[in-house]
Amino acid sequence: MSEQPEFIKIQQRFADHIKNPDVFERPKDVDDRHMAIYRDLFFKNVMGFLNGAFPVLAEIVGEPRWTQIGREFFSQHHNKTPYFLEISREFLHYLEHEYSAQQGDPDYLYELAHYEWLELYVDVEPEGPATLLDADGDLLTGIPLLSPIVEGYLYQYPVHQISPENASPKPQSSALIVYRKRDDSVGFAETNSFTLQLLVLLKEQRLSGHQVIINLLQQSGLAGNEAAYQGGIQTLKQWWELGIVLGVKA
Amino acid sequence: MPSYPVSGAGLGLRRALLGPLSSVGPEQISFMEVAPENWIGVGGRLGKEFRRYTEQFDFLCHGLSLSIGSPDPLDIKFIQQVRDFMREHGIKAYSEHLSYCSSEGHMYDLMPIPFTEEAVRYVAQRIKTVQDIIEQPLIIENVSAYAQPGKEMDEIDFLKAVIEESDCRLLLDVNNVFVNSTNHGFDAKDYLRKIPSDRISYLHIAGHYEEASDLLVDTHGASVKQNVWDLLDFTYQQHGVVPTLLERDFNIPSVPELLSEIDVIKRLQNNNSGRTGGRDVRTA
Repeated sequence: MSEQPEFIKIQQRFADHIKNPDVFERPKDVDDRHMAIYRDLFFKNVMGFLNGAFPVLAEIVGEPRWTQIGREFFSQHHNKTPYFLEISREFLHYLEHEYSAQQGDPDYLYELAHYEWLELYVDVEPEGPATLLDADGDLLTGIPLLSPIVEGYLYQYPVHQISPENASPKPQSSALIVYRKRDDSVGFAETNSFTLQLLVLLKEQRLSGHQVIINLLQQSGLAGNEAAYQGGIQTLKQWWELGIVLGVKA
Repeated sequence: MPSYPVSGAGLGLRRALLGPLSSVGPEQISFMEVAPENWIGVGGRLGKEFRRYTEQFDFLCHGLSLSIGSPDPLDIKFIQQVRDFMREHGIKAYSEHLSYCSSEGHMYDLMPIPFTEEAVRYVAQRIKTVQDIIEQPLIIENVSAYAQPGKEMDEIDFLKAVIEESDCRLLLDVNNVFVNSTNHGFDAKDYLRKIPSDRISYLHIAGHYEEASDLLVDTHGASVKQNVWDLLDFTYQQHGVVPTLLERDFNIPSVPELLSEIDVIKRLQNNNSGRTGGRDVRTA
């Protein structure tokens, strides 16, 4: 195996020191005043990305712990994405697989980060090829079409209600839908685990609204339950009004 | 006559400028530049707004994550995505920094490549790989630096050697020349005189922050300093009127204030019109 060229080794040492100055010494031919410019620029830049994507989490975790988590992410995580908006996804990956919780970190830390990331994702994710839409078609006989970007998750905490004023919520199963509205803004809807299943079936864009509800009732042991069927219809209509459902396939 | 991918006086387009610039046209801003890393894979309202801009203005890509000098391998898939993005939006050329921004992963800011012969060969080879993928010359930019680790030759010689060996183009950042001449103690005009005119594709100009009298930081967060305007004028005298773009990334001022700086570029360009490639054709 051939040895790395000298300039590559210099580059690696330079980068290692910027990532983790407590562990790696600065290059010998650079004085501390100049090296400090790099250390500050890089770390402020990374913290800027994290603060922009996770403002609620940053405020709740608070200093100095938030900076500490940021430093661990910057020094330990191997960032694969060249894209700036995806740094938040890398941070989620870090939280899920590499981060180690400390006493005082909220139990919902990952879930809140995920929910904050989801808003960004729904805002910017490119839409797939459009399907011809009948915006006023019958949602029961037609095949309902969903907002181009719509995600539903079941969280263990009410992440949508967490704020610095409400930083210690009790665990409470929360089914949340985040989606792109008709005017391209980001919409949020609280639902339940039952209707999250409805969303899953609708995403297949295979069956009529009527058939989707029937299938869902069968899966849930509620076949023939008229009240539940009416509930399904109400949900579809409500989702159409919110823009989670845009209409039916033309 | 030299041929350039764009002409006139341009402005770097930031997300924060999408709204404020919505009523500005190509007669005020001749061309724009974006970081592909901020726009590839971006749809929704931002993607639609961006589309309106690329339909109206001439565009260049000014990348940040290519990491041409990095110890890490080139990200071929990423370069292909940049190429496809340029085709999708009719973007005329791709510039990047003569630096590196990754080492066992991306670090999202620029670090100085040691100025050595080995590094020249390494970087030139990687530039050629990029040029093969994008099927046009890469335009590399001289970067501002606050340290010169492992330096074995002067910056200007390193820059010229990379351009020569890779047969690439140059984005000459006049502010970076000024910043580095202060930080590393060389003569900015001497540096500019040594630049081969026929390699220049366009210029950058920007403001910087004075950390100390001998330490300037290229923040793109302030208006252009008078001594940098003077250096731009000198660059036109040396190399002719080259398309020039104003970079402003932080503390973004009002649109009239930005346009007034772009008007300074235009005025200097008009004052030097007729000059080309180091000769003054009016006196030829």
